[in-house]
Amino acid sequence: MSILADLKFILPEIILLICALAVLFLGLFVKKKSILGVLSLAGLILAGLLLPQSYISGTSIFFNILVSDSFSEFFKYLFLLTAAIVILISIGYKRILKEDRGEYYFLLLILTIAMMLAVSSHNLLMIYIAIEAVSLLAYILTAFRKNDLFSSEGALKYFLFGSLTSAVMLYGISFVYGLFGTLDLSTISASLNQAQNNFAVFVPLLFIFSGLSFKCALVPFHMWVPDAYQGAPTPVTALISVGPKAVGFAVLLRIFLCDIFISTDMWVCFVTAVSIFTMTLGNIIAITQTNVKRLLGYSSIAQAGYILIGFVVATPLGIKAVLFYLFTYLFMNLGAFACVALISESIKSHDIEDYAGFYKRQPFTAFVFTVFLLSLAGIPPLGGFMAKFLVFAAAIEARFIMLAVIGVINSVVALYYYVKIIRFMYLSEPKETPILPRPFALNFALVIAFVSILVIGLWPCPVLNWINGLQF
Amino acid sequence: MSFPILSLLVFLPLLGSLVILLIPKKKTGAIKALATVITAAVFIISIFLLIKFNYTNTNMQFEERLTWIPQINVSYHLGLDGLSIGLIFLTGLLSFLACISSCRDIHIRHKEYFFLYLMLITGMLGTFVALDLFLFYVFWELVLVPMYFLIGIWGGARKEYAAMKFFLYTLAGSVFMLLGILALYFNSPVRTFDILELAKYAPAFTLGLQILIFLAFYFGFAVKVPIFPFHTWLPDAHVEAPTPISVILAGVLLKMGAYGFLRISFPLLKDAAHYFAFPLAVLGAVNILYGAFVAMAQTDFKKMVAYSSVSHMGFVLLGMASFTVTGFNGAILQMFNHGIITGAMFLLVGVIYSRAHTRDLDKFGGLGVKMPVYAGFLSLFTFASLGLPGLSGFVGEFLSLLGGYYTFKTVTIISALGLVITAGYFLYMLQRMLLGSLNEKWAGLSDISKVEIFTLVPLMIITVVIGVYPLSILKYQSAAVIDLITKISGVIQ
Repeated sequence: MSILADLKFILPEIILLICALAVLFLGLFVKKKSILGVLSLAGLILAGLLLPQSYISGTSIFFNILVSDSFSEFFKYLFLLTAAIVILISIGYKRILKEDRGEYYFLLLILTIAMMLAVSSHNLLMIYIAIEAVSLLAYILTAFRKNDLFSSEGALKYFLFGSLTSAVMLYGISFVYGLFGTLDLSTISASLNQAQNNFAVFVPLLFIFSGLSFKCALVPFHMWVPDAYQGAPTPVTALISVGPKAVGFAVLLRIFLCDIFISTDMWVCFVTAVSIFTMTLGNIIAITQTNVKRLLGYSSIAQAGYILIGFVVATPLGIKAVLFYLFTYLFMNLGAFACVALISESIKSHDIEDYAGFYKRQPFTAFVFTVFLLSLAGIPPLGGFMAKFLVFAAAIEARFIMLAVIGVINSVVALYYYVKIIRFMYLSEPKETPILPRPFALNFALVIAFVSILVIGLWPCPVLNWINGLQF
Repeated sequence: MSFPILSLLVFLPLLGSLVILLIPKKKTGAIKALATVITAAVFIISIFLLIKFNYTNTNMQFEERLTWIPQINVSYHLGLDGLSIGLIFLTGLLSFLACISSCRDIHIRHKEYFFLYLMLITGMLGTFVALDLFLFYVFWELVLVPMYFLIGIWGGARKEYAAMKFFLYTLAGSVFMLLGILALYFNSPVRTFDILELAKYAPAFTLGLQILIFLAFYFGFAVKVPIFPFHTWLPDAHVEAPTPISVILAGVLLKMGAYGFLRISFPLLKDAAHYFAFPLAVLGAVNILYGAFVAMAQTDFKKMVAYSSVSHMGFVLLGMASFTVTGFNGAILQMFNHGIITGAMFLLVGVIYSRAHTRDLDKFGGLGVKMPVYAGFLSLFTFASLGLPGLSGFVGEFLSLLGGYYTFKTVTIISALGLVITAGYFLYMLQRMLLGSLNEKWAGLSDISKVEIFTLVPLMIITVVIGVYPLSILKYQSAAVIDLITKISGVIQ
């Protein structure tokens, strides 16, 4: 197949690219900046509409560099949704200066393209390039508020950690090339099947895993999270807590489960330990946090630990649980950060104690925030419960009893700090009660996330059907 | 399919709570009226079910079954049998009475209160009629969130601490239950969450597996009952909660745990249930004695009643651990009676607290003269609670002990001492409250009001009727109990 014929498979990405360039260009002239946001949204929706037409299951394109399959399609939808919600949050978020808006939306859209490429890559080099692109864009967006010291500090930490881990990952990839003479995943997997227990294979895979753990924010590559989350503008925090994390998990699943299936004892022990440490550490440190963004940062580390359970058990149910969890996590985490963005606009603070009595100021925001937090804590009948349920079900099915027990104990610990925010919002009395208007776009984002969480919790059948239909 | 009356029963309060969200905050009258009407309707439906219920039939009645999440075989399956009918009636009655009490006792944030209150009722009713473990778990957890807020916002001085403790304790218990549910699901030859289906497969599990699953469920239920040493949330929650919520907590929530044993642990994991019979009986005895001793040491009226709950729930546990028809009958009856009597006791605590603003027993005295009607009610329910023959409390405790004696003689004899201690602290309480000289500070106290009498009279009638004619309630459960014992033990004992 010629390169030109392959272009139709990346039509959504092309649309987004055109849209991004248009936004950047128009940003120089247009006075009313919300038009840029709407234009970006339109681009995302158009790309979403074109997505089903642009894939034929299991086709390899561009000389086997990319693959077009239902697995990548799932993640592409996930990223388009994430980007759309983040743009809705951004439109209502005042702290991004007007003159920077064009640039901001441009970066967001390019980041979306990079994420979409990362999940459809089928070659280690392409995976590395796409992931590096995601990282670079995420660093820039984190540092987007140039005059804010926290923003710069967070971005610098993010960058230093990121460059270290991506160097390690590249090192691992070079080993793989040395061992197999190719970077194409299917070729590697064909030769690897005989060499499962080989230590020489284990080490490079471990390096690659490290690089991806940084994206997923797994312990011990989680240190950047609280600072980057705190420093980044809140919509960006929302984005990096969902998008790159999903990229990390998607690539993990693709490399380690779909193409190179490894299940040696050493590997399983190792990943189990990572999962346990990630959720336990995230939860325990989150307890003492007083800044909501840092708290949600640690909570997202813990969430990654739960998601990793599905990866550890590596059964079909485990993989489905990971996908379901990521899909639900998208709505609840973006929703929670949308609330944080909204609340910080009104109280000018991210301190939990300043959330006191927020139910009086904006009953609706306080209510949906409570729902998002309870969903993150895994309380039925919300979406987060279904996700946790599937993850633990996968663990029990595969007889990872200890892992499941540690997981549920962790979710009790987590309840404490999620409820801490709720306690301040509902159980304390406010200091002053001005009622502030809510930006329409932000409201809209909240409603989308809220309804999705309820629907996923009460009627998960469509999502389950969708995930069941995916081919790995 | 016949009219889905159980769904109506369960979801009517939820519907009501959603309607309340639409009523403006200022219209407290409308909110209260709506909540009262809804709970009254729930009560009427529960009476209707009681009338329509065929107590000679041991199968599920009013059954409803719909597919919910076919991918993992979750169904929406509701049903009612002799084990749950009494609890449904109890929930209906107490929800209605506590709602009337709420209208008087709750002074702030009415809209949120009744929204949460009605949601709580849906959770409780759903737990008692759910026949699918997934659904059961959802309802079980649905109770937690409203309860957290109800204690945390409208509670007493240490409300935030108590609410958080309640939430964490019960969630910690129930997540283990979730693992137990999953273990049942994956080990059964046909993957299902349906309790009736699982009852066919689960008894064939190996003893080791049954023990493991039993323990997982045990944590969930033991926290709720509460069984020593998981009881420490209870005094805090009961004391800090507002009066109507204490009534619901003691009257209904504690029964969810005991009901869980009867509905899930015993019939599904019968080998493990027999294996753990003796430890359960011992824990029952510990609950009875420990609860009674601690209650005796209290000076706070409400805390005393709270610990008396721990003691009374011990009888339920002892009766269940005996695995005899008499013991089971006693346990289920004791659950019902405890709901009625302790519910009334908490209402009575609320009456005095709303007037005197203290619950310190040592500060009262001579109220018998000042508040004669109140004194009458208090004496009646106290005697019922300490197990005076002729009132309902006696029947349940007696049957539990009788059943327990059949299986565990020593443990039962020791437990019976609890009756003496119970009589001791209750009479000591009566003495400090009603007798002696009147403290001048309370000269201005008014006697119990008409609304308060209205909430207490139904409970009083039930207490006396069951005490005099226990078959009036026992008939609903006896067939189901015989059926259950036959399933668990193979023979009737």
